[in-house]
Amino acid sequence: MQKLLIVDHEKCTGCRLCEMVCSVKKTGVSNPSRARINIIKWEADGFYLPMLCQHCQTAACMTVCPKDAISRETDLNRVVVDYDKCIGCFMCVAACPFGGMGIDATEEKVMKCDLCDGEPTCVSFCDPKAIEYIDVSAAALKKKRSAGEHFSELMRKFVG
Amino acid sequence: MIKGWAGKRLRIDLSRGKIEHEHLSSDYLESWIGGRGFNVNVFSEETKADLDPYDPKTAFCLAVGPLTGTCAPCAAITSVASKSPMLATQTYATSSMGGHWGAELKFTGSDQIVIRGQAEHPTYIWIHDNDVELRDATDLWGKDTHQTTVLIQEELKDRTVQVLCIGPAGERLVRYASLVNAFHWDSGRLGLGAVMGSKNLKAVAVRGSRSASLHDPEHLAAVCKGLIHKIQGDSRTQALSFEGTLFVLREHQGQSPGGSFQDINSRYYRKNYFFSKQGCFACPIHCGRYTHVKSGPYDGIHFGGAHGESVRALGPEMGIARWDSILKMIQMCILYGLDPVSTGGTIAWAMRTFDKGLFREHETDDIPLHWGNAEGAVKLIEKIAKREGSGDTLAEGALRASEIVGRQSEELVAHVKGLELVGLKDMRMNSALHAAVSTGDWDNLKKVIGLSGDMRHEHNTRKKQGQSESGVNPPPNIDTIAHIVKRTEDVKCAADLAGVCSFPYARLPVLNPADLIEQLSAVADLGLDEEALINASEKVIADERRLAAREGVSRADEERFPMDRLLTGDSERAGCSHQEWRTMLSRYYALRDWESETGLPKNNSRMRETSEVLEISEV
Repeated sequence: MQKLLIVDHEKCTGCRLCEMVCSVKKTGVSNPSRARINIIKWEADGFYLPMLCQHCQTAACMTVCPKDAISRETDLNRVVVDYDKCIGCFMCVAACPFGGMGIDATEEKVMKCDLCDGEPTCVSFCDPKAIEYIDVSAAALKKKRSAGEHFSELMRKFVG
Repeated sequence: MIKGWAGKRLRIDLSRGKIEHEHLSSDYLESWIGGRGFNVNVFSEETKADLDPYDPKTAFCLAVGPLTGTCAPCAAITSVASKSPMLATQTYATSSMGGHWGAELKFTGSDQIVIRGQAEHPTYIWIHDNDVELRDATDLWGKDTHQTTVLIQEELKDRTVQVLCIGPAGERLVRYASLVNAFHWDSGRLGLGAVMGSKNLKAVAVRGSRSASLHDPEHLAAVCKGLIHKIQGDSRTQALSFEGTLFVLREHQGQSPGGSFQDINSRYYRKNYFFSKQGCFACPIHCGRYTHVKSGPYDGIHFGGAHGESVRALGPEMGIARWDSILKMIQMCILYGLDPVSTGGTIAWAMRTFDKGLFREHETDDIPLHWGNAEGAVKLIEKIAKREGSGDTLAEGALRASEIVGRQSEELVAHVKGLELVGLKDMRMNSALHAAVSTGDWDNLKKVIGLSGDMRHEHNTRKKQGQSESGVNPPPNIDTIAHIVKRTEDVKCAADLAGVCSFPYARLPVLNPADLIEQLSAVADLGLDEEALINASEKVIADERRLAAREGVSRADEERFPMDRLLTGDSERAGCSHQEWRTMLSRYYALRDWESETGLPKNNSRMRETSEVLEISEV
């Protein structure tokens, strides 16, 4: 079964722990500017949105790469960078519509989420479960259940 | 290179516009650890006694610890220190501030900022990595904390800049003005916002791209994951996460007169006003709350920062049982940069004074300031923040205002060392003792309620023995209380030194000092053990006490505690007599190795010895 890293903005509390553990795991230091995930905040409203690579089916980064350094890996359904082929032109950074492809200024390389080879560190640290790594089919069902909760509650109360 | 710390202190002189970057040696870092340690050291070594809090020479310090800005759970704490205009003795005061500012400071490559002098015109400091700039804040003067944050972010064209600022209250030197970061996380008590205002300093904006270096990142991640599981699995932190700090409202239920405050609880809030949860930096608990009011005169107000202690102070303490008014007042306090607890405490005093006919209507700008008058309180908060009319008197805090008003109104002030106490006859003895002797700030996040770790078992055993003998709960054991308060203060201080929130360590001791040690060794390779960490805490607390004693804080200030704030009756939480209070103070002083008569710390070297003696006598 294919898995998907899915974000629920309603649950995010803006603590940025995911950014810290991502940078610790990937770079050995704590530095949000080197993290593959970032929380985008509308702080005055109390609205937070975790943003990271969406591993697009038709990936803009992959399309514009002049060296075919970016490819889709079907096992984990992820988009990966082959750093041996990468020439550091940053075209992918410009092309990505979400900012999912970033630049690690220390290593002067592009950086993106690689799903930690199937065990995303950020997910395991996220207490409110604003980011989850779940089966593709379960993802939609989960949303359906949560959206239907109110309806079902009313129906059971007044009809059943 | 030293791991864990940035290894740098930034010194800013606002009078001369001078900026210095000072390197901190590894010996220094290891000896003072961080946060409160750096601040108390700067004050002890570099400041003279009797400086006014508003004197340009008075330092204003902001410091973080080795864990701040790492993935350690709750690694958000900045220690703010200066001289408090709020305390009766205007002595050295330190406060812990959550939010997101401290971590960003670490990412700019500094552990501490020491600010002195007084800018010629309103100024804000902009720190971007190594670049430090003093910028004009004339247009920001008079703006509230929300507007200031947005305007600075717009001016610097970066929405991720973390802004620590004061509101109009700090500019006008309201004695209990607060500092606010990330829109609503504040360093509330003690009036340190007024110190910023006296320096003509509107804000400190930070943005960093540097790394917090780590000694053993893999081990750190594993340790932190374990601690997060521990936090998630504990019913106390689960309750805190679910109810927010509004869980403290449970404690006064059933004790309020006439039960008129029955809706002032977290359940009612959650059903009617809850919008979303929020966390400080790297926090797996998320006790912060966003509030949305959907109806009534305050329809549409939307803000972050509703905390339990603020609700108590601006609600039941003033006889106000209307949620929407309480929430409106909390929002006003955050926007104006006022400490909600002292604001509530001061207005509550004004109301009691008014009801006794000591404060007259023409003196309150024709506001009939009866206990429970919510509209009056809302009007008064604005007057306080702007120091208009009667607000000018109340901006001095309850104790000083009572000296201005006279007519024996001082007897109605519930305070310790000039800082208002909040709570309707429901303070437990350990919270009360903590409020009296604490060298740092205390509020719902920091005051002592729980029994920390190992002491819980001992206490329960004693309780059982007492029950089996007499059939009722035994009266509070004075020795145990003094011991609990010391231990909790030490652990809280250790968390402040490390730069993490003391909530899960001291207030709700889900984690313990050994967990701090594990994280510290993974981050900084510190050769510390638990005993050495607690010794470091004791050293810092002794130095803080020396600074306080230097300006006249003594046993007498702690003896005169408003006993009517303590619970009465036979329960284990009940209050005590003056005699018992004095014995408890003596016991605490002995544990700390402070002079029994004066409360002044004796020689540092005896500290260890005393605690060893204590262990034996406890057994």
